[in-house]
Amino acid sequence: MNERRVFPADRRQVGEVRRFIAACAEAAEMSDVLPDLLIAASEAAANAILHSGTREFRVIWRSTEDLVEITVEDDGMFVDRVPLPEIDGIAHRGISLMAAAMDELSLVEGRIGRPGTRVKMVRVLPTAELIPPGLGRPSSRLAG
Amino acid sequence: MNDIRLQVEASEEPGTVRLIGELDISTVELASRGLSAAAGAGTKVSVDLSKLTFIDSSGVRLLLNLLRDQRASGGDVVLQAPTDHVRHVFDILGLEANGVVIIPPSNASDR
Repeated sequence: MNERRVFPADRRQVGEVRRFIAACAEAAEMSDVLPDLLIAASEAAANAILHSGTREFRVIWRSTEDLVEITVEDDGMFVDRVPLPEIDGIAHRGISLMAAAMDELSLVEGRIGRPGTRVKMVRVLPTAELIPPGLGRPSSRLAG
Repeated sequence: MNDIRLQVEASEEPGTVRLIGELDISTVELASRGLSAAAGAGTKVSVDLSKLTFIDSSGVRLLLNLLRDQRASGGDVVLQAPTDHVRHVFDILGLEANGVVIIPPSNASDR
């Protein structure tokens, strides 16, 4: 299943992104992983809204039987700096949340002369044959 | 566009604030004002999360900043009855393991 939607880069749109993801997950019958998809998509959308400096961003849903891939991309610049925990506190919590909620996370950072930031996140779906009943998702290694 | 995604309610119990709805970058300012109004220096603030269906990293940052400020003045913050989603986010970020007081819902059927 493939879906794509353009959103204005407005804070209020972050809830609309979650509703778009929820609708995609429902259509693809993937409601069991929806809470994690909402966490990840919301953080990526918030980054695009707050930091891209552009008017709009795109959310792309691609799912197969085995995985869900959510891409959030804009035409802006990615502002990054290595955080100083002693001064900034715990920074990059949003990226930690995306990484914990999904199985794969890649980030292409827009630069001057090459704008365009793209966050691609993949969640691999458990299959009934591989996962014995009653076994949940192991706790995150990022916790703590 | 104008639908209210978050309500902040002062509870009957003093020092208790209830967050209802979704806490994210579009509602965090509203939540911040509501929490600040309820948080006197050195007091214990109880945040009722039983009707909060979503929280993002900006919402967690707000709660942790409130916790830092209350503790700095001799008070504290207690996070009450988070929903499954909010609890999941707290667990990913290790809040309880880092000394944040989280009271589970007393009755699962309330959710």
